[in-house]
Amino acid sequence: MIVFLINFTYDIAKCINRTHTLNTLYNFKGGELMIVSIDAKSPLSIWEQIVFHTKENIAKGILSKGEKLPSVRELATTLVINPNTVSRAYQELERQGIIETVRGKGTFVSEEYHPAPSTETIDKLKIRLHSLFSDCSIEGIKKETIYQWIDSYFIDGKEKKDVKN
Amino acid sequence: MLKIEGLSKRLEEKDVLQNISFAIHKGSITGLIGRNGAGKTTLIRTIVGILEKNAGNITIDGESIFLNEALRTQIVFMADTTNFIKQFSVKELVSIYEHAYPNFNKSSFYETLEKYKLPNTSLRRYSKGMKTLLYLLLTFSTGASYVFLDEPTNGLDPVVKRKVLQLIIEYVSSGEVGVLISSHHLAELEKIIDHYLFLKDGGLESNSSLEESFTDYCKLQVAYQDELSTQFKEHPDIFILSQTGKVSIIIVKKQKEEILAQLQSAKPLLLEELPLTLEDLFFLKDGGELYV
Amino acid sequence: MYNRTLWIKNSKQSRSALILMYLLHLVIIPFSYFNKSIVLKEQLNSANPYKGIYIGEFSMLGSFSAILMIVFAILLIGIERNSGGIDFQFSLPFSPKELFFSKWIYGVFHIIVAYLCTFILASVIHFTTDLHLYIPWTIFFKIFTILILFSLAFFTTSLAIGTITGHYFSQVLLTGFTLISFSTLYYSVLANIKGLLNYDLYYNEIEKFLIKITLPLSLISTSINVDLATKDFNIKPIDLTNIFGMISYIIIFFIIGLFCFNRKANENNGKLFLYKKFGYFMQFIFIYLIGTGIALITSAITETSKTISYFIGLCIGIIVGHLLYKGLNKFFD
Repeated sequence: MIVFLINFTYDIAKCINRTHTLNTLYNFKGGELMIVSIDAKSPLSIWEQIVFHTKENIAKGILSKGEKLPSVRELATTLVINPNTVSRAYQELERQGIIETVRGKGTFVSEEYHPAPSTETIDKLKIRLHSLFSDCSIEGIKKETIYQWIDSYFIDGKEKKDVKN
Repeated sequence: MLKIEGLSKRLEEKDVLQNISFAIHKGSITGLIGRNGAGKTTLIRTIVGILEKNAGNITIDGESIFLNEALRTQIVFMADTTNFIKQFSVKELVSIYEHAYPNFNKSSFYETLEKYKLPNTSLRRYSKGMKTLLYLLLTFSTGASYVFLDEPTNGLDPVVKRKVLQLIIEYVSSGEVGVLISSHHLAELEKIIDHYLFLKDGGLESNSSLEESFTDYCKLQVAYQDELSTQFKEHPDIFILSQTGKVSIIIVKKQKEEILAQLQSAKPLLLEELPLTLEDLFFLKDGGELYV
Repeated sequence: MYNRTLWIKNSKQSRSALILMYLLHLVIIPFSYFNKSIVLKEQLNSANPYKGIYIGEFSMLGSFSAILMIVFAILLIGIERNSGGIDFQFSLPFSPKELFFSKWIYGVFHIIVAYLCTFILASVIHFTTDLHLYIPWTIFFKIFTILILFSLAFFTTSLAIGTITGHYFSQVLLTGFTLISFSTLYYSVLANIKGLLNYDLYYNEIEKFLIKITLPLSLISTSINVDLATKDFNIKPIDLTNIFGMISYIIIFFIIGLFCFNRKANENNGKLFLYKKFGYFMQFIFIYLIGTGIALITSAITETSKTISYFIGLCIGIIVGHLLYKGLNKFFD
């Protein structure tokens, strides 16, 4: 619980404060363009970042359905990271149904993939939420209270239709 | 799989290597790290045949390389200097390597030579970076399954350093070769290795995958009203990386939820998780005093 | 047995010595011998009472060859200890014995080829000039056999010593010492007995034997003296003991080198000696000889009570030798 909070706080802080070092590389391979940024200081491991950025690229339309991804070897060499790390990321993406491997041909973005809301949207929501938490903190509202509010809004995991506070 | 079992080496009355055991798998990159004088170079030199072991065994797929010397064609070594090879030309070096290693891939060598724009001449025309790149290329072209690199990125500029690392990754991606790299450049090492070996005073202090360690430990930045209490300072599972005034950066064994609870309950002014790096693990495993 | 890898490596390393050697064998000596035919003409036409020529070319060849052999051995083993060559070749999939053998056979090959060339060239000169009228060609066989064995022995000895010394400095010194070691040690023992006990020992037989087995002295048998008037040629004889001695050097040191060139010894690369126990032995010999040397000096400069001054000299010498050796050791550690 505590660890979750620590992670969550850090994640938010990270979104606002983009002064960490970036290792952005563009992988050109016959027309495809895939942006993957590896942040050495991110709490996410490298393979997790690859998963995240691949989903981001698909969501932003940089990678379209059926498009070919760089091979494990290509991506590992371009980013100068261990090929097993790239394998792991690709395995996870495949597990989530986002990409699929065709034997002898390569790895492609799944036709079946349904894009998630854009990252900008999510970022913005996070920023708003953080702002709200700051305000609550200043007013002396404890986090236990906030949890209660959250709980009361989502009953049985579902949104309450009319919210009275 | 190359397996080192109970390797020991004595140099001048000192046990430089004590009972070292680990394995190298094809398709993996292992980092060999440790303080200067911990025995890293001695370990590599003993494995590749420059020095003689005092005890232990080295096997490839179960067969001892001491009983079947022909297995040594599966092992190749790259020294930390190009002092010796610089007297030769590329052609001579190719000839030297291809007659020593029966699996030498000549065509792939020349292909890659061109790709990296290395001239096919005497090494006298080569810069330091180019020599290292060539040496690396020769090493990997031997077709040997187990490659030992002794500080391959020492003294290289960022551009050629990147090429060196990319070359290593390219060859490992094939899954046919396992690499052991001894290096002090932890930042770049941690991006490319999946395992690491920490050598301390001749013994193997750590032998684990990076991922395991990054899951096992976490790095926290904490601040308390008064300095970090002695309860935490002397806790066996808490290691202090640095301390400035009220703020301390510590490493904690993640499984120990109680520690985190304790830290939390001591009402910290600040408790934040920071990303863990190989360098942090280095300090942790070394265990010495970091701040005076 | 033969491996191209090691051949190329050996060739590159020893390039300079090889060039000098072939220069000596193909150019310098044949040219010098050719000159002798001119000297011959001059002598015949001169008004000297004694007309003669001295063919020292071949002993000169031997002497220079000896030096080149040591350089050869240094380039093949000695400097490898410092240049990373040892690390390089031992990490290759060759056994240490293969590595040593390849160096040896490489040297042997070039020595034989070089001498064969000189033999052919000298023979050509011999028959195309008047020299063949005064010197029988068959003598060449004897001379060249001695020379080839001589160079092989020198080379093998120096190469083998490179497998027990950790630096080319000690390799050179120990090679030089080994070649004169029997005589030196024998005479030093005599000197000590005379100096301390005032007792003269003299063994003619042993001394004769020592001359026969001291390698550098074999060259005496390669120079020819020709009296042009009587057509008498004079060459110092060589007997089987000499030949046998040279062959023994080759065999013994080849075996020593084969077994001493190994991974265990590599721990001490860069030091004076690779084998610690041998190092102690050499330390003893070193101190002993320096002691004897200084003792001889001190006893020579005093007029009376030579025994005491000899003894004092010995003590001083031992201390000096000890300090010198310690200093050397530190320098190479």
